[in-house]
Amino acid sequence: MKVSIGESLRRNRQQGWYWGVVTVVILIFCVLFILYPFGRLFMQSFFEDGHFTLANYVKFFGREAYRKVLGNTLKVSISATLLGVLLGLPMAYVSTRFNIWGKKAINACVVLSMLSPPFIGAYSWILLLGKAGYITTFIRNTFGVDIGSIYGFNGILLVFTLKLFPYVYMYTSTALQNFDSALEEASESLGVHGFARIRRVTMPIIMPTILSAALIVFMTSMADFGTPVLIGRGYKVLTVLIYEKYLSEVSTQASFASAMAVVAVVFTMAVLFLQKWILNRKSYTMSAMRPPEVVKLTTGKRVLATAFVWIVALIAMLPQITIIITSFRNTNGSQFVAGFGLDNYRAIASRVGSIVNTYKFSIIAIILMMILGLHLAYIIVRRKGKVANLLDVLAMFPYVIPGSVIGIGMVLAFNTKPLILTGTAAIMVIAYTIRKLPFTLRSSIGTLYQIEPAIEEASISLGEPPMKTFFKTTAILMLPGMLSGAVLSFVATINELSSTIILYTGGTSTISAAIYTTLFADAYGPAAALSTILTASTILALLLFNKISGGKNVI
Amino acid sequence: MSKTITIDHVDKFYGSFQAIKDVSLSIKEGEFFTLLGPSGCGKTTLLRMIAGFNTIEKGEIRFGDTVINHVPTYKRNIGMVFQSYAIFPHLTVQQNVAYGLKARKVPKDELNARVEKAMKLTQIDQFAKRQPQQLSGGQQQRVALSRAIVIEPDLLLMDEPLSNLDAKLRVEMRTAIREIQRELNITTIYVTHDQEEALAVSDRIAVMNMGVVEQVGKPYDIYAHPTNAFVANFIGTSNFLDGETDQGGVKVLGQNHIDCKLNRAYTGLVRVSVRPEHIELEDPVPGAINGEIKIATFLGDFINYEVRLANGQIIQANQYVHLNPRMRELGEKVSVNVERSTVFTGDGKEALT
Ligand SMILES: Nc1ncnc2c1ncn2[C@@H]1O[C@H](COP(=O)(O)OP(=O)(O)OP(=O)(O)O)[C@@H](O)[C@H]1O
Ligand SMILES: [Mg+2]
Repeated sequence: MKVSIGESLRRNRQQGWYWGVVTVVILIFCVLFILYPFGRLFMQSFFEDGHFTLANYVKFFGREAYRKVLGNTLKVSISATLLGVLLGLPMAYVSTRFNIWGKKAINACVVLSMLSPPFIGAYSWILLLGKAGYITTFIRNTFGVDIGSIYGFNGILLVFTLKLFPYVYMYTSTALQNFDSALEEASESLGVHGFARIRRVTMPIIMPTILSAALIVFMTSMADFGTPVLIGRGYKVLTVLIYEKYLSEVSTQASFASAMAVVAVVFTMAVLFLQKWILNRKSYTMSAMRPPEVVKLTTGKRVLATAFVWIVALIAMLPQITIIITSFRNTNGSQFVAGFGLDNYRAIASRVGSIVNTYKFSIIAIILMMILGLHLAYIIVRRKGKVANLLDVLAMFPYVIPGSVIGIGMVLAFNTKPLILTGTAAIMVIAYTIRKLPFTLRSSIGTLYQIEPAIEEASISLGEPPMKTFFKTTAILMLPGMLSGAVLSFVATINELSSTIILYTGGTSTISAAIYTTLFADAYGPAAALSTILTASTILALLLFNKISGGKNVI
Repeated sequence: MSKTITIDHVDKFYGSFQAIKDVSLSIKEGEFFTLLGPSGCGKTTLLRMIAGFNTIEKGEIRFGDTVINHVPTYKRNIGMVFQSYAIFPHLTVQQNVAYGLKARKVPKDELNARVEKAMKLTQIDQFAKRQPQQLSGGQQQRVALSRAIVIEPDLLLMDEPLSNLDAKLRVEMRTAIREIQRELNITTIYVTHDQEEALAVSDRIAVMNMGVVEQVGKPYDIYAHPTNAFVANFIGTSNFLDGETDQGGVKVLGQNHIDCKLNRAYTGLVRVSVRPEHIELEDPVPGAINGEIKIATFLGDFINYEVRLANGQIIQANQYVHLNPRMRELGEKVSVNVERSTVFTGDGKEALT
């Protein structure tokens, strides 16, 4: 639809000022806090002492060592994506299609294992399989064998796979449950059955879903900083290198960091577009007329299937459990000693500020995200046009940028006049808001599509001006659906490490930053206590959201 | 209070596509006025211009003496009933009806009394405390109507309000709407593409086609005296016979003379429209319009025949059973006797009788 400027002006006059003002405010917000910081970063990577230069890129692609880091990053991300799909897909298939025991519990385990940040998983696997890990020590003492090192590529891959396969599991479970069984029956009736049927009918149809999940796994792996920094040791990836270069005092290194950040963003964007391109060519919407029946297995097979699913789920849960138990072990300095108690919790009493900060920042950020999500979704869905499209792209952009890159961009943009924000709580809240907004925005948009525009027209015709109408009708109707995304945003915010690491100062430390520093001081016990608090917060947040949304499972 | 609505030479463009072309209408106070026309002719577009959801590119719309082109919808004091009902799903029936009064900050006592009255009038008072999801389609439609009339609008607008209901309920609801409209004497503009509905409820009808108003008039006048071939075809059923003028009337199908008096001097090609009920079938007479029965359908009080004429054209003829009880055989030869017809110019744009 072509809308002339005259038409839209007239429309604005008739529909009141509210949406015009909101659009402008959000546009300013997005340009200032998304476009401008990244723009600064982008420019910095091309300029040195005010002169245009490609030196940073030449340096990056020219040196073997740096190319290797890029190779490492891609290798570990692609491997994690493949393994995540290979694990998540059969898990989803078995637990949706067969009558295994304890489906609900499995679901809960998988969701919970997904919700804590990867770096806690990394830390926990070090506790289990590290040089002095529980399992390592156990095997060494019992069998006298050394199981080798968990550090490096294997460790990162293990953590990513276990942490991220739940995305594949959740997405494909939903798709499999919405699958119209008539299609599979049609295939059977045509003589294609068993594995051939799965390969030729089921798989192609849920392929787009799998791709979406795989994309999330890939991008999260690319962007993650905590895991490789903890468990990677010598195995360096981009985010770690960016961070190191950024921290170094030399200014040329900072612009080199910017160049690498740009490279990282270009790669994730490329993958995003590739996925979009494939999806556009092949995507099916399906609402099950009759969802597939659950296959009743014979007892033997049923036990096997159940065992498979449970083992995977429990391994995924293992890090959480380890952390919680570890947090109650007695410590003496950085050494664990025999017995259980609250030593570690006492030791982190001084960190109470970080805990308060986490809640404070996250709550403010989630409120901002909900306000933004509500209005942005409305602008994108109901007030289509160039500006709406631009806002859509801008708001989704941080989704493909690693957190540390966002952090660096923010510092570059806001450590000089006129707007100095570095070191404030505001900069952290803003970084969290733009980085985690996409979850809330997506769910808001999805919900808004289900609400018919005539509802608002009815309200306006009854005499409520547009702004009041929005808050009395559409906004209220959007809330429940929006919550499912908001809870993801919130959980991701309290767990955010990579941008925090760049942006925090003494006064604005959060739990995740505290865990990071504690770990590097080799205080494993207190780190476990902090992680437990974080996990508990996550679970609490989920329960709370569940209650607010009236018992309907939001996840 | 009800008002006269004047639509004065208005245009509407979507990009370069003109959806409304120089439409002028005048709707009287308290009138039930219907916009009728085929899908895509611009009924909704025009209605939404009156409501204020569409802009007006050219011309004026006036409520009484006030030009409302630039008055925002929420200040126009209109009641609107939507095809999808658009009941607020998060409010009870009572709250839905009270919505517009709350927006007008009507004092509580008065509000309650008016809501009560409106719900009684629309017969939904027994559902007052229910959520909309617990109502049937017809009941939801009553809530929508109740909500629109309770604010005592200057103008009531309805866009195909009955199209989501089943046939029986549609008839029941249209009667209810008509009664309530009469009782409250609200100027009403009603949109439908169902001619039967339009003929049944309207004081006057505007027949629209491709963004243009083809004819405005009372239901009977539009049916009996269509001013162009489009209206003749769209309202009721018409058979069209091509012909040309001749001495004292017209000659159709190259040979058959029909007596008629043209309202102005005209010579040349014509189109003659004949309603199925204005055709009498007779046993074959040489020199008459002859044909043979292709299909005969018994419909209770009349029989509908499809007759194939000598030139291959198929026409419809309805024969009342109490006048012609014998059902003719398929293949039977008949003569077609035209009892009444309307003659149009060859392009169908103007009625000559
Ligand atoms: N927003 C729009 N942008 C472009 N063209 C439009 C828009 N809305 C309507 N049109 C076009 O304007 C014409 C009139 O549409 P309108 O909705 O008024 O038809 P209608 O008479 O209400 O039809 P129906 O009986 O199917 O509801 C149609 O050709 C339609 O395609
Ligand atoms: Mg319409």
